[in-house]
Parts: sequence; C-alpha cells; structure tokens
Amino acid sequence: MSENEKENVVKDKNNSFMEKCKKFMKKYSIATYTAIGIPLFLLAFLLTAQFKSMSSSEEILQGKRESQLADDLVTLQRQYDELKEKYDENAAVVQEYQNNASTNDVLIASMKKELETANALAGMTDIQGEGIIVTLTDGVSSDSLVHDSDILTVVNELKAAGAEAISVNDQRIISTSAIRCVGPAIQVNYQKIAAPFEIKAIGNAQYLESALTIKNGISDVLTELGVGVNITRQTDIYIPKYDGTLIFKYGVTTSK
Amino acid sequence: MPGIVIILILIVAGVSIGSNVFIPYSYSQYIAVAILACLDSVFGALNANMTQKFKMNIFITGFFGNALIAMFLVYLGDKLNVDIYLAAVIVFTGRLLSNFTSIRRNVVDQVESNKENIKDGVRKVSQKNRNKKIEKENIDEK
Repeated sequence: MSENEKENVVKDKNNSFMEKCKKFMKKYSIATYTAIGIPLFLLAFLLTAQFKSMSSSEEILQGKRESQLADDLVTLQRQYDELKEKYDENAAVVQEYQNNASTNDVLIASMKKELETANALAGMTDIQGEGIIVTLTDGVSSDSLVHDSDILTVVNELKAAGAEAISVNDQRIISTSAIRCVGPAIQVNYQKIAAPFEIKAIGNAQYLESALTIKNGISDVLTELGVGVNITRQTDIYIPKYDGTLIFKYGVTTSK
Repeated sequence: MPGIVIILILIVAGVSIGSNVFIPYSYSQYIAVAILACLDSVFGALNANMTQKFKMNIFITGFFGNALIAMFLVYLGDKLNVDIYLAAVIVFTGRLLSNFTSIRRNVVDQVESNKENIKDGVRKVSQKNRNKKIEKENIDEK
C-alpha cells in the first residue's frame, strides 16, 4: 500500500509538471519559438564566424610579437640570399648565351661592345681600373660623425672630377642610387652601411684626388670637423656591379 | 516540441553558415562585443524565465539593441581613441556572471525544494500508515 501511495505522490508531481509544461507550450506558440530562435541563430552565426576568423588570422602582422617578426626577418633574409645566388647563376647563363650568339657576326659584336659600355655606365657590370679609395672614419666627439651629406658631397665631387664608376662600401652608385640617413646607419641602394665608409672611384687618380684635397675643399672641411679622411691612389681598383634589378615601371623610352 | 526543434535547426544553421564566413581582423572587435551583448541577453532571458518574468519584447529589443549600442560604442571609442570597448566587455561579462549566478541559485533552490516535497510526502504517507497500524492494534487489543 505504502509503496503505491508513494508512487502516486510522485506521479501527481509529474502530472502537475507535465501540465505546467503543456500550459507553457500553449502560452509560447511556434511563432514565439522562432522569435527566440532567430536571435539564437544570429548568436551562433556570429560565434562560429568569430572563432573561425580568429583561428585563421594568425598570419596577420598586428597580432604578432616582436620576436616572431625578428624570426621572419631572419628567414626572409636567408631566402633573399638564396634567391640572389640563384639570380647570379641565371645571369651567368644569360651572359653565356649572349656571348655564344654574338661571336660570329661583326655587327652584333659592335652592338655587344655598345651594350657592354651601356651596362658599365649603368652599373650593371664589375669594373676595374685606376682610381682612388677615400676612407671616411668617425671622429672622437659626437660632432665629428660621418653624415650622409658628407658621403653625398664626396661622391658628387668625384663625379664632377670625371669618375667613371663609384661605390660606397661596395654599393655601386648608379643613376637611381640614393644616399640617406636611416637612424644610426646610412642607407645606400636601400642597403644599410656603417662606418668606416670606403668610397672607391675609378678615373684619373690625380684629378680625383685633387678634386677632394683642393684648398677649402671637402677634405679640408671634413678634417676640420674631426672626421678622419684618408685618400689613397691605386692603379687597380675593383668596383662591383649594382646588386638590384633595374625596371622601368613608369618611364618609357622615347626618341622625341 | 516543434518549437525546440525549430530553435535547434536555427542554431545548427547559424553554426554552419558562420563557419563559412570570414570576418576581417579590423571588425573582430565589433563582433566580439556584439557577441558578449547577445550572450548577456540570452542569459538574462534564461534568468527571467526561471523567475517567470520573461517578456518576449524585452528579450528581442534587448538582444538587438544591446548589440547595436555596444558596437556603436566601440566605433565611437575608435574615433575618440579611447578603449570604450573595455567598458562594454566589463559590463557585459559582469552581467553575464551575475545572471549565471541567479540561474544557478534558482536551479539549486528548485531541486532542493522538490526533494523536500518528496520527502514530506513520504513522511506524511508513513505517518498515516503508522497511525492506521496503531488504530488497528488498538482495535485488536480491544
């Protein structure tokens, strides 16, 4: 008896609960459920979209830490070196083809010579010859550091004195080269260089040297400021070619 | 039952569509704040439902209104260069937690009162039985 009654009590409880549920169901019809469901749909949509986007946006730079960026820089530099090596190899192959193709014909031979001259002037070939080496070293005090403008002036003087090829710390100066200050270093051809600065110039060594050492010339000015200037004449100077590629993006050659 | 099925279908649809959508990084802050506002509304609705205070209009307007205002605040903060979204995050998360707390209290209270009701029921039944037995014994003795 007691067991049955206990069950009845529980059943009553359940029945009342079920009735409540039924009332609830009546009270909240399907339309209401959809009205509740649409916000939930939006919430689920936003949540998953956000989760996915955040997990796949690890590549974005903003979230990266400095150390990661440094790592990237190192790998990119390594890649750059590898690619440069490959480029050099391929350039050698192209050179070989050019040589082979142009050995027979005289016309082509003269054109080849012209091309070589043009390449040499453009800074696309290594050059050897008589010239001077100017070495600029930082002085002791902070006023006597070598500035980008000093190098620029020296290069300008050398050009004016008829230098045929110039390089600064083995960065070939070509028509589009820029020499500028980037923080503590100096940038030439977008490559950072640091003191001591070795400026090589090929040309008449005597002219070049006197262009710099003329009274009240750049050499005097720099020495007065405390910058170390050392000029040596040499009969055989080697100047490397320009590292980068020359592509005309905006300009077109015209014969007007 | 059909209502719950509809809700489930809508949620599954939301998940499946959301997994194919990519949110640009610059908008992620807005979406995050909107998600918090929506979650706050949903938990608030659950809480209100527990205490029989749930009102559809308030839920719907709160859901969209909170999200929109939160996103607007983030935009304003962006323009003013103040991290207003932090305020939104703190407020919504705090409310989420307090809502969750009251939901938990309600559930625990209900479960305990149910248990006690059952116990009371059993006690009453056993008391009745005992009374009956005593009566029977008395009759027998007589």
